[in-house]
Amino acid sequence: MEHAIIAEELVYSYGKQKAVDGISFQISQGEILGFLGPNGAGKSTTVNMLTGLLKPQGGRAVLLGRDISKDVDSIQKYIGVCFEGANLYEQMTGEENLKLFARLFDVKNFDVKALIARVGLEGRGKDRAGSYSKGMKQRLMVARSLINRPEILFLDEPTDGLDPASAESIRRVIQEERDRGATVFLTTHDMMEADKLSDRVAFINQGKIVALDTSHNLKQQYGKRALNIEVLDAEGKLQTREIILDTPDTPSQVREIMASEKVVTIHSEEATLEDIFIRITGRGLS
Amino acid sequence: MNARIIGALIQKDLALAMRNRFFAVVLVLGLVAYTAVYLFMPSQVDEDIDFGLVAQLPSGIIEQLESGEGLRVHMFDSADGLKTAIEGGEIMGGLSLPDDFITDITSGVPVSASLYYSSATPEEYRSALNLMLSEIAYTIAGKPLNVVVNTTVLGRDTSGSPIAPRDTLMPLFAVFIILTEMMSLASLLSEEIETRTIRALMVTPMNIRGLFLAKGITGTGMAFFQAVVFMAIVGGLGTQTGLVLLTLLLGAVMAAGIGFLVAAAGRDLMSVMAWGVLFMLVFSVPAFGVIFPGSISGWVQAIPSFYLVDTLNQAVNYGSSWGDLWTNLVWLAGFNAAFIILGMWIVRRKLG
Repeated sequence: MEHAIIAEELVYSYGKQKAVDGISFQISQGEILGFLGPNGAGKSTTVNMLTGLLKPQGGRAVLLGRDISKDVDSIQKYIGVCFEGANLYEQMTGEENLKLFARLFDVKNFDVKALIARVGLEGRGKDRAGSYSKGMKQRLMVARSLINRPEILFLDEPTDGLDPASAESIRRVIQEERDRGATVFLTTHDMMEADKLSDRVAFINQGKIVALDTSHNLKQQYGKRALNIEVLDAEGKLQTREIILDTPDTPSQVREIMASEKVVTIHSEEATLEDIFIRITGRGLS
Repeated sequence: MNARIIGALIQKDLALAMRNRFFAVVLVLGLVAYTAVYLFMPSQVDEDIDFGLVAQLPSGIIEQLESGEGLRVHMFDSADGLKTAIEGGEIMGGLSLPDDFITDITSGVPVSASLYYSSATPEEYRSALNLMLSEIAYTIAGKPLNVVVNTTVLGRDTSGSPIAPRDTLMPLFAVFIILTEMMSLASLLSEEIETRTIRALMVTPMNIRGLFLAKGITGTGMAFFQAVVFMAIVGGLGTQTGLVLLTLLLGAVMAAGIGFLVAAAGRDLMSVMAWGVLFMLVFSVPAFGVIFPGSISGWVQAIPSFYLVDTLNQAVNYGSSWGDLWTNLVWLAGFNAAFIILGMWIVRRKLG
């Protein structure tokens, strides 16, 4: 499978502050990569370099086989970007916002109503974007990023601060885009979302990628699997017993509890991506 | 960069400009107000002559002179005082007579007198001043006398037709209209940066050159359109039409260039207004030289708007031709190029 994005030793500094410090990765066509990291880790700077907003000070980024530093104008025809935080023309209606970008991308026979409906904004297309709620603005931003049917979709915190219904509708659109064959670069600090949507996840911390793999493999490599068993003690109070899985003693420990104690519930437990991030970097994602 | 993208951006900017109630009101009111003020100002020239005099004359002569129709005599202690008053626009001309004027006149000796004009003094007034000198001599001696007159024109010699006050202000109003539009463009660009919509534009096939081109065309077009409408309404396109239109266009380009600078300096509407007003004040200074002839010092020519105001004034009010004003146009074009390049460079740096 060809790579839609190849990043090689990307470097970018703001003054003496190194924001991105020699990161490298590849993303295959049709893949969703979750790019996880806390605020200030270098996520947005990486996206800015990949989308041509910033010129790398070191290394190179190749998108769809072309170096973004040398061929930015032609590459930008094939990418869609949804920024963190609303940046819409609020004096213009939702439809006008989308039509403007359709003209910039030279999209023929653009069906604005269909796109508005796809992100759940039916009936609000003729309202000014400034009158939209945060969730509606975010949905309009996602719609804007889809106008040119991009081959690569950059989504920067697309569900940040949204209500569950809005967040779910955006996740559904992301999956539809992946099914269509688009490559998705998903920047987020929501590990649940990344876990749910991403084929692979990358952890970035202090400008460096500290881990890059599938969620499953990362959990296997860094996490612990366990059983949480709730039992009633002699006084009738709930107690929790934890049995680590994948050890030679695990079967006997399970048998012993089942035989000697009054079991109320049994749950399996997996490490979350946040647990793994903390384990690798010593700090949380939030 | 293709025309489709430029067109889309221009259409968007025009729509946003019209939806910005503040600027829409300011621009419409500005155009209406400047036009109204022009139309309500007197279209006729005041026929009274304010006449300065440095002389020691027998009592009664001044009253005798003022009894004639439309003459007001202002006495000065020295020729320097008289010249200062003329250059300051208080009076349009005056006479300085030597201390022994009366003695020489009465003894039949030819005398010399100094006659000073403002550069804006019409030919009729100059004739009247010459006549006045003869009148004084005749009143004293009872007969015409041999008086040698040394004439000095203070400031630029723009002898010709009298200019009505409102026509004097016409170029000033046109410049104000153009500079007001500068703030509109600065606001559009500043808002684009502030709300980060510019980032959304920059990840489309549009590039930074296209952005500047579209903004420049929008700002120039809006300023030029309004200035032309104003000049058309007030009759400013009647003479040297091509020259006036080109000058307005160059002025509009200047407004766009300054708009880039103001947008880069401002972080929100208020700071755009603050910087914009500062530019407007500085750039208005040369215009006052038109209202008050002789008050302009050489340093004002360092202000780029001087070449805009002066060209408009000369072309509209005095019918000066391409040949007279081509150096002004070259200066104006040079300043424009500097503003555009500097403004684009600073905005580009601001975008990171």
